[in-house]
Amino acid sequence: MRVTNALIRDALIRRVNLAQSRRFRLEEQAASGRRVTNPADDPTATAIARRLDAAMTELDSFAPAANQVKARLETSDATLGSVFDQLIRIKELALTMSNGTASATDRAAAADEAEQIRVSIIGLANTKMEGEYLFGGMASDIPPALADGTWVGNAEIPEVEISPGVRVAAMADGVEAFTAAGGVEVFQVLQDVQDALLTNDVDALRGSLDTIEQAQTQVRMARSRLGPVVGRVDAAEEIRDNLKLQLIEKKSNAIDADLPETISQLTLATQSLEASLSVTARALSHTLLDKIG
Amino acid sequence: MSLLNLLHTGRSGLLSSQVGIQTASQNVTNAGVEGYNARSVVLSPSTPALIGGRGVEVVGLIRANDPMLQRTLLLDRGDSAAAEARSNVLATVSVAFGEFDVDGLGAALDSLWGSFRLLEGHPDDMASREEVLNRVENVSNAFNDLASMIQRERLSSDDRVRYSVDRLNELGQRIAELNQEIGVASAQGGGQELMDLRDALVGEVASIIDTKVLEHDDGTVTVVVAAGMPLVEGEEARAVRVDPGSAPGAGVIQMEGSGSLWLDMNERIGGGALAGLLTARDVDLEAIEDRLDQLAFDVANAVNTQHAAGVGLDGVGGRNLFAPLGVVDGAASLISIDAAVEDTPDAVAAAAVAGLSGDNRNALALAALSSTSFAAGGTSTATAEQASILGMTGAMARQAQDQADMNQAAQAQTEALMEQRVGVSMDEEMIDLIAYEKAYQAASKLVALADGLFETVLAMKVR
Repeated sequence: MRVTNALIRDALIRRVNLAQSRRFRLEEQAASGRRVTNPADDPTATAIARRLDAAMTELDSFAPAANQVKARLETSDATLGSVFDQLIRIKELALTMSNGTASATDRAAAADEAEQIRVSIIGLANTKMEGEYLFGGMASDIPPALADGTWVGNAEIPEVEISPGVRVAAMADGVEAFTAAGGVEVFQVLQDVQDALLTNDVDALRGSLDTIEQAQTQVRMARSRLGPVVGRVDAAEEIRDNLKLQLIEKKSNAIDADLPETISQLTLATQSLEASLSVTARALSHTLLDKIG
Repeated sequence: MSLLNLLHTGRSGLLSSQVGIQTASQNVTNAGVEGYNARSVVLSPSTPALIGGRGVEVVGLIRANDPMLQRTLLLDRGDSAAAEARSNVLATVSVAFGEFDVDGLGAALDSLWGSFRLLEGHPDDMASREEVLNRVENVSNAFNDLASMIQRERLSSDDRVRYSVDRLNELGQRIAELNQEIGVASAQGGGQELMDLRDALVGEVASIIDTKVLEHDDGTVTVVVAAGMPLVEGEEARAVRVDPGSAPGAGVIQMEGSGSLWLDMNERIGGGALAGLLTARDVDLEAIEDRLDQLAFDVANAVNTQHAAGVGLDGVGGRNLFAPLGVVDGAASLISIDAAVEDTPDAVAAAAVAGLSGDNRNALALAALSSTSFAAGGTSTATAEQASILGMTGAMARQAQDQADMNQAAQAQTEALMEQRVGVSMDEEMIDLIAYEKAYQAASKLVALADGLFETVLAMKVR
């Protein structure tokens, strides 16, 4: 093989360039912590990382609705609790007033209290949170209970997603809690008690004890349905958090540099470059020119 | 044999040694010059041959050359330039598609689905509705930006094509001129410097377009490009141009034919930067653009169809979120928010039926689109398809880069072989210098000897 000076020079240049570019590449990886900075570096990993990012963004997007559902249901729960307490009071009233010892005057006074209780429960049924009526169903912009006790709320309950593929009822069911669909017309029951007190109708009062109890059961049932849903929302949050951690790890595996590995490769590449450079310095000085005077 | 002959022999030795020394010096001084092929002197015994001979004569100067290797080198140059040109275009596109910053198409799509989910929770909230409209605009912009970027690369590649064609013309002209000059010079035994120059120019032609060279005895060459179209024949160069009637970003390269005919070349070009640029411009960018257009079309369609199924706050249905797209071609650059809903958050159809402000059923259905496989002919979700396009772009850039690296290596190897054949070796030249120096000394001794013999003869007394 005939070796010319240009051949030596070109080979040395090429070798040094290769060593430099390899070292440069590793340095970039170590500095950025990324193995993949450009789709061409690893197309498959890039596509995977993109899909993982999309999945993470999606998980995050469930949080606001889920939190809102939880807040709403918790408030609804507390509200129904207050309704229940009011029903206990009206039952006491009915019981006391159905006793022979009560007078017509007593009953007239009781009728006033019954009226207040009825109005109060209507108010509770019309509880609003962040501009939406908690028991109105899909007609969340109108108060579901009219002043006379007629229910104008909507029977459809909106659902929301709390995690991929999982939907829950986003509201308490006002129709089930307050109307005949759940047992009795609660406001009618209250109205009947009020009327009975006003008309001094003891038999009616005694009869109302039964319906008041039904109303209580109905409200308690409606309330008890809320707990599990809140539980599901909490569980979903935990699942989402775990899932997100897994996704973060997967993404890191796909595109992050393994720092210890990268740094040791960088050290090797630097040594290799140093070797190339010192060989280059020496290689050009072996010609006949150095030997003849 | 005469004494004069002896003198002449010595003289021829001196002269030829001088030529030898001159040539070796020429080689040494030009050793580092790019494209310089080592020269060597051809000596032979002088003619006519008399008994004892008449000395040595310089027959000529040879320029080291290897036509076979030259042919291979031109092919390698062509392949290398093609791969590099293509790789450059694809690398730019790939980086632009890269989603490691937050604002890419993928992130825009994610946010669009996210905005539907937000709407689920607050169907009658103005802020949620406005968010949906913002995200629709975002997605449109992201598609538009990518489409513009591809078009920009297309135009830029076309510019590079035009520039290369101009250069090709210049080179063709110059080579034709050199052919003429070489023809004259080589008849007189010279022309080596011109040949070096011409070979360098042919090398540049090969990096622009696939090139074959046919060498003739008089030292001139015929340069054939694009699988058989003659660029230079003797002193004639054919003009090359980009068809002025070409559409923007789609220049058609032509060579002048007979009469006023121009012959299309694009299909025939198999190497050189032009091949790489044409592939990138007409095939690669096209492939990416087609998939992007299809995705834009599918997204607009799917979202519009579902949105039209629901009603806005005013109870009116049948509205689009994206301006309807008639065809797939160009969808990515045309996709935009529908003017009828643009500033009207009320129009966003979150509800399934009129009259219920808490009705979020259509919002739920819209959000469900994120996991519906409506893209890529019904086989993929929008997110998966976008990620796939991203991956494809990266893979193309990767493959082009690998190809360029491989071709570079092959070219380097061929160049090394060529250098071995025709390059200057300092050691060889040093030895030659010493040898010729010694020959010169020997020849001068010969002249001195002849002179001495002459003196002897002249000193003979005539009685």
